[in-house]
Amino acid sequence: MRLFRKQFSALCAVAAIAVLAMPASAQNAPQKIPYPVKVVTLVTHSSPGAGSDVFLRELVRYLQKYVNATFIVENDEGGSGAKAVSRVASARPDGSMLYASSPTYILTSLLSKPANTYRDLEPMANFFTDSEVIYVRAESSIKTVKDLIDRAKTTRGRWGAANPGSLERQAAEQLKIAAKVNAAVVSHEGGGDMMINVLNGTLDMGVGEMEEIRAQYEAKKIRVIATFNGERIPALSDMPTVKESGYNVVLVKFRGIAGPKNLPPAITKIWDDVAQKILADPDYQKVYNAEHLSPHFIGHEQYGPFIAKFAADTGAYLKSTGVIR
Amino acid sequence: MEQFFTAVSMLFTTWVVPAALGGLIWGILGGATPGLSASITMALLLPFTYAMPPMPAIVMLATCYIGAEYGGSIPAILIRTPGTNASAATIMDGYEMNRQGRAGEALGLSLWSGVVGGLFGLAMLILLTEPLSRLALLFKPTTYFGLGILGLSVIASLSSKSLLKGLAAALVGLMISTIGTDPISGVSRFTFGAPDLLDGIAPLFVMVGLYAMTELMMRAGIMGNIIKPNASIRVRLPRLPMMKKVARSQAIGCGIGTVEGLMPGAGGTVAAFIAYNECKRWSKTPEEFGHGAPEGVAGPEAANNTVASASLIPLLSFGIPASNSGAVLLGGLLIHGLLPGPRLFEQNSDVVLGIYVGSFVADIAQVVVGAVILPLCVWLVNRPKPYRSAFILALILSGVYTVHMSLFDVGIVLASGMLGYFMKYFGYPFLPAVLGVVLGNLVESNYRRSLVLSGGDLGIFLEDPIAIGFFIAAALIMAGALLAEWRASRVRKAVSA
Amino acid sequence: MRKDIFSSAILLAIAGVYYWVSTDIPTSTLEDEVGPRGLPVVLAILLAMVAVVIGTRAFMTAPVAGGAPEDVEAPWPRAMGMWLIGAAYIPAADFLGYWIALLLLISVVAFYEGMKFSWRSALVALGGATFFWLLFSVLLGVRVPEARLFG
Repeated sequence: MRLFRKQFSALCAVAAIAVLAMPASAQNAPQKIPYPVKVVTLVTHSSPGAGSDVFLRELVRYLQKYVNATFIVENDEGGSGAKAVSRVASARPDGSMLYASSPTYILTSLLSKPANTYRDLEPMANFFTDSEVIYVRAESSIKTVKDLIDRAKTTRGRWGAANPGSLERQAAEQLKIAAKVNAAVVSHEGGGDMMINVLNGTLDMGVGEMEEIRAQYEAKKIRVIATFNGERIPALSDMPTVKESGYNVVLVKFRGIAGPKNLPPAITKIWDDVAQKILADPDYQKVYNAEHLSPHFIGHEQYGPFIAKFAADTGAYLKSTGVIR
Repeated sequence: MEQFFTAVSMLFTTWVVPAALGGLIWGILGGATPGLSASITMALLLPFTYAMPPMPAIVMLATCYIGAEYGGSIPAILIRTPGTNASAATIMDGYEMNRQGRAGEALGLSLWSGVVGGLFGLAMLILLTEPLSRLALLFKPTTYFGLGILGLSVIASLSSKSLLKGLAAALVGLMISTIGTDPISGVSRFTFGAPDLLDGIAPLFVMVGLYAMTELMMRAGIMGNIIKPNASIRVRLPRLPMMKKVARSQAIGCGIGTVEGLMPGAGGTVAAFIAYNECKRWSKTPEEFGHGAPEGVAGPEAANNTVASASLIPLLSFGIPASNSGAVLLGGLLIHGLLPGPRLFEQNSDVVLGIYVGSFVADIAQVVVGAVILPLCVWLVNRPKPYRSAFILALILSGVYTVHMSLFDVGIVLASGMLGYFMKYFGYPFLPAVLGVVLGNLVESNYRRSLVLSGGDLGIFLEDPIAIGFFIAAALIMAGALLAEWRASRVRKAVSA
Repeated sequence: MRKDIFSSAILLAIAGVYYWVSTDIPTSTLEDEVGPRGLPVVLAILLAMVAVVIGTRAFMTAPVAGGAPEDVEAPWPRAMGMWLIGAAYIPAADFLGYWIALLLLISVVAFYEGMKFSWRSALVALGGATFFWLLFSVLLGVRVPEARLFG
């Protein structure tokens, strides 16, 4: 979100406080996994209060429960993620400094020439996929993806996507191609003004993260009709995926952890272990289900190839559309 | 009535008062630091609120916003540096008053206008959230384009000496605004591969460079103080006759601030500039503007302080942030598990009530806090000039770094300072350039967005009644400015003949 | 009016360079009718036109004798000196760290502005640097530039 990104970042020693406020359930907590360093800094490129930041701060509470180390979240925002990547890439590979990875760092690497790119980081483990959905306003007659496509065939479709270079834009463009319609895809700056345009009927639909549109969803001002995720969202299991609806477009907006190159295998193994344990934690499940995050574990071995493929696909898309050369 | 008693009891039984005061003081200090805009000041506060219960945490953030919008005027008046984007409009007459030895009066005026604007915005928030939030839903890309054009039209009437030079400055400002990721297609423009430029150049950096850095350069080594020593460091709140004199400007500011508060993305900056222009137009003494007119401080300050409360309307009712500051507040709500939107008013009415009560406390407390810190600020800027210059430079370079923790941004400020020096040297006004930087993106992206929606049909702009209203207002402003220019040139000819 | 002729030449150059760089903006299939180059091209042309008008006007009007001088202004080398001190802060902060860079900045600017070195001025610089460091690093929790030289 451009709005968020425009802001700034700060060092936050809050994680420590969050630990003190941990629920009493820590008493019967399982044996904590030993970790080679005492303090682990998780670096994010998002500013305090923005998507990745909120995600990390919640994650830290549960990391604390399973791992014998103190976790600190630091925001390092400059250069659309370039600064955070450089910082982690040049850190000592002992597991003390890790990066909260999301598609942003790949997009920045592809769109500009930062000092360090995603190739200078070692992908470690994936935790979640954001739930990307197609939403329409409550009064809209569009109930399914088919309705949407039919509408776009008869009239000029008006579709919204949050940011010009975003994955949401990519998904909308690919849906257009897959359905062979010529809808206008209008990109915005952040989800806020797009939401208003969906609510006031300027747009037929918007593509956005479930987390961002929750307020309107729960107030029943909008309806969600399908998700771009590979599988159905657990908390909304009766909503189909776009792929099920007959258009082969899948969007995986991942959230995981990456570190400097040459991490010892012992550390990547710990994270493989931790990621699975945390995702299975019943308390955490309650939290992430409420936010419609879809758990999506990928271990160290497959995560590298996954990121490489993601970057290759995104790069190919950007090249085919002429956004980069 | 029952709500009222709950609100009163809140004052004594909860943390709302300390939270409001804490947020206010932090906000004023942050807002007064050049570089730290309201949103950054709030983002710096955010981590400290994580461990608090939700209500005081949110109150603290909301009052921090109020404090920051006010605080930005302090350096604008005293050292010609906008503390926040929105306070750039205050420089014109506020700094001029300071130069005339009227710093105490100017600070008192901005404080008083901050209180008026804050209370007005709060009243709108409490009484009219429902109807105003419905109004906010009417804003489309075409409306934003109209607003942007209205903002740009102000250039015509504020390029005091030469319309042509004003136009040139505006074009350079617009050029700066095109740096970064293209808002529609996502390609990079003028970034030369630097990731630091992908998000564009923040208007605040340009403003700090143009105003503060240029001023330091222009006055380098000149011992003669251009600022008349302030006879007294006392900060004077306006007396009744003055209050009456500026009431009209404040009313204009409050009205414009309310509308802009509702429009996501527009923010207080546009409100402050349009308010300045309108105050000048409706003033009985427009010729005083730019030469230390009290209305020129009162109008913009009332406007940007109204925005601080009015922008909570779309945020609380839809969860849509109307500004960067709103986005930070939204983050604060989310972190505390609060979901803004219609249900917030039912499920977490204590938080909503807390925001009302806290904002009220903060608006009133501004006067007391101001009375304590303002004399200190005036004393500080009256130190010997070598020290003052050194500390101003240290302050702006440190403050700007804080935004993205990037020395690259410090470089942008220096580059803007150089640009400002040349503009000043050749007699080009700053204001059009600043408006160009602030509005460029708004105008361009919404123009193109509208055309994408209509399939290239320009008729779409005529389907939006609010946009038409903005166009007409813009046309009137421009026509007025041209008329004034024509009259002035006739007077000149008559004199020289 | 010579200033106007000179500035119009600079504006023309800006318009030219800006236009030239804008040719480098990639064209994309995601583009609208206006396109990412639409506004830049318009801006460049408008600026060139305005520059030409300013220039010709300056040629045609007779120089006005003794326009009212504005406020006292520093001679340009002095102004550039101030700018260079600011510019030197960037590498200084990068290599020596925030506190030392500030200390230098405050002392040098104060000296440049005519304050003689003395115990008093050294104390002011020391106090100032420490104050800013406390404010930004400790109170606001900003990760200020660290000395690369000693790191």
